[in-house]
Amino acid sequence: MELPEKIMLSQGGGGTASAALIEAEIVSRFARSGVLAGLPDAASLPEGVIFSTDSFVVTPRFFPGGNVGKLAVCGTVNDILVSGGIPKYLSLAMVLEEGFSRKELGEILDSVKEMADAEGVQIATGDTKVVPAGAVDGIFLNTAGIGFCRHGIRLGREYLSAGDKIIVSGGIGDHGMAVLSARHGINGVESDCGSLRKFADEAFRIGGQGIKLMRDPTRGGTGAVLTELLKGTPFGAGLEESAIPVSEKTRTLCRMTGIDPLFAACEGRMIAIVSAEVADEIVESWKQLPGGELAAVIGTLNTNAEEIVLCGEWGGKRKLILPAGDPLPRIC
Amino acid sequence: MSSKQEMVQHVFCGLADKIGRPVRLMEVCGSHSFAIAKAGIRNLLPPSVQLLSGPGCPVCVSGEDFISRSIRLVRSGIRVAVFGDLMRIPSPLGTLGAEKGLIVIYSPEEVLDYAESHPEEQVVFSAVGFEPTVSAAAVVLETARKKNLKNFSMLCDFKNVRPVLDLLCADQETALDGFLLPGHVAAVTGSDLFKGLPVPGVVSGFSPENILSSIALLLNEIAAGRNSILNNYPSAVVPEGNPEGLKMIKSVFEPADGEWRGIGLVVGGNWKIGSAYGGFDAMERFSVLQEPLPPHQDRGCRCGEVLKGRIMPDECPLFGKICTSEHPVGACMVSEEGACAALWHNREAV
Repeated sequence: MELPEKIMLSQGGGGTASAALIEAEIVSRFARSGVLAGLPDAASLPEGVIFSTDSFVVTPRFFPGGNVGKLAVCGTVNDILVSGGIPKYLSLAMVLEEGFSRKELGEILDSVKEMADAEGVQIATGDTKVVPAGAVDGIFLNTAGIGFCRHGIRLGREYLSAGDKIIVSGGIGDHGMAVLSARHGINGVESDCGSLRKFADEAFRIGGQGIKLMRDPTRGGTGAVLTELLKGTPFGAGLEESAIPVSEKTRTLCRMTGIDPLFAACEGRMIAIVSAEVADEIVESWKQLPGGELAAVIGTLNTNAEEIVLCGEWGGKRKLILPAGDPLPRIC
Repeated sequence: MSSKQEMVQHVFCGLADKIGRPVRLMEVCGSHSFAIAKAGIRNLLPPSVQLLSGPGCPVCVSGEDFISRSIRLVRSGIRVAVFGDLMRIPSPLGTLGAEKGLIVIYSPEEVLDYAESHPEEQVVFSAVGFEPTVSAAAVVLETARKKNLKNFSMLCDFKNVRPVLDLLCADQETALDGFLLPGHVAAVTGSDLFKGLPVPGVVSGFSPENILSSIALLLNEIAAGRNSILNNYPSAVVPEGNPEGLKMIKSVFEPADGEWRGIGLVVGGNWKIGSAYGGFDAMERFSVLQEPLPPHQDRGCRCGEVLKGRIMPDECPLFGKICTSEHPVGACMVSEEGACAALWHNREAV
């Protein structure tokens, strides 16, 4: 893809435009080899250390089900969890706009504390910068996290095989639609923003080495994550469209706006590729967890390299094509 | 194969056998194009039944001149409001998306609010669309007149669907056997609008099952040799349409000849602002719109033949190679309801 001279909003959307920018500017410099190669959600360092970072620019800052502070903790914690780690320490960096409300700052930081305490992670280091009005929009946060690898597990594309099942821990697209409804004053959809700790614990307890890969489908949604997971592998996937869980509210809002729930962001859901023997048991245990009620097996790996095919209710088939950008910029 | 799929194939194969020759059906609604591609309906049909995408996406059929004129307005310092799907349509002057100072709106009322709160600016609502949008625009113009908004006007390229269907029926190369008729348009105009077509037609809704049953009904009419117009979207469509909507359209707009991209001049194919509302017509208000326009460019794409149903999008040599949704060459690749984009985003898998 030919890159424009100036950065475009769509290049931050998690679609093909983002991938092209990252390939040209990041992969070429930093990820041809070493720990960043393959662009995992979190880096696996020597001695079992898992390391990850994320920035948070969501607008609006407060949305049904969360705010930028809660998101800043969950986002990084979840990246470590889906990489097979147990998060322990977070950094917290803030860029504040001159004139930003101190009351709002307090509320956001209270959420950070509440979420970090609940997750058993410590805010271990931090930074605060203030820039002139207009240089950022209110508050931008960054968190980086350190965790330690669970014992006896192994995750990686090299463990995939045809027949593996794709499972999802709950209804997809809720965060994207919650942010969209908050922007347009529509009531109804609540964000799934939350920690994946219990989902990861259950999956590894039941599945062990049967867990091949995990991701949390944030920007770009489930569709983008599946595309990324299978990129460069000899495997493709068949998805049953009617099995993909979407809450009634999110489905309605997606229909109204024309947004495909497969490309709408989640902030508290997990996609895993697991061996067929453990798939149903994990899904059943996820269904018992709060937020996991709609967990489901949504598809199966096959040997059609990198091709994801959706099979509709009536038997019509189409390929899953990654959009160029995100229909909703600044989702997280 | 699921039992639903078996049932569908059984029904379609039976109808195709009864007809006993290849048939060419056309949908003339962008939402149908998208829904058909998304549900993978083409690969459920027998090979003898071909489903073509006609000129059903307003963004695709609007004249190139409309985009050039909108860009002229922006460049002369006038505040132009548009729906987002127009931003990437190519024109000899570039795209609206490359211009600064536009307002992208979600609902036409937003333009009126903007004009009211910015009396120092001239505000133009640039819009394209078929009858459902035309009726909404009529309400906007009526409201603007009631509010006596002096700084508001409209540049429009509104399309009247019926004449182009007659034109397509007369096209020997397209050789149509029937139409899947647009449900949203019919909700305003009524299914009676389509009476008298030389081929049968079925007004359809948008769910995969509604589209499938509409295609089955259409094939049944072809097999029986009837030219009926059937309404298979009765939850939204009645024969006489929405009387209020039609009254609004006719009180504000009048039919006019119009340029359809890729098709050419369609007699009676447009709705223009009527004389009673002439004061709100940007064409009359701004002299910059009277200046000669740059000639149309030959971009090498075969949009026109796609829109006429002569070829499928993937028969265009540019499709998927240099014309993609990231870099659209033709208008049909811009809006996701365009024939090319619908197919590009939902490539069918065999």
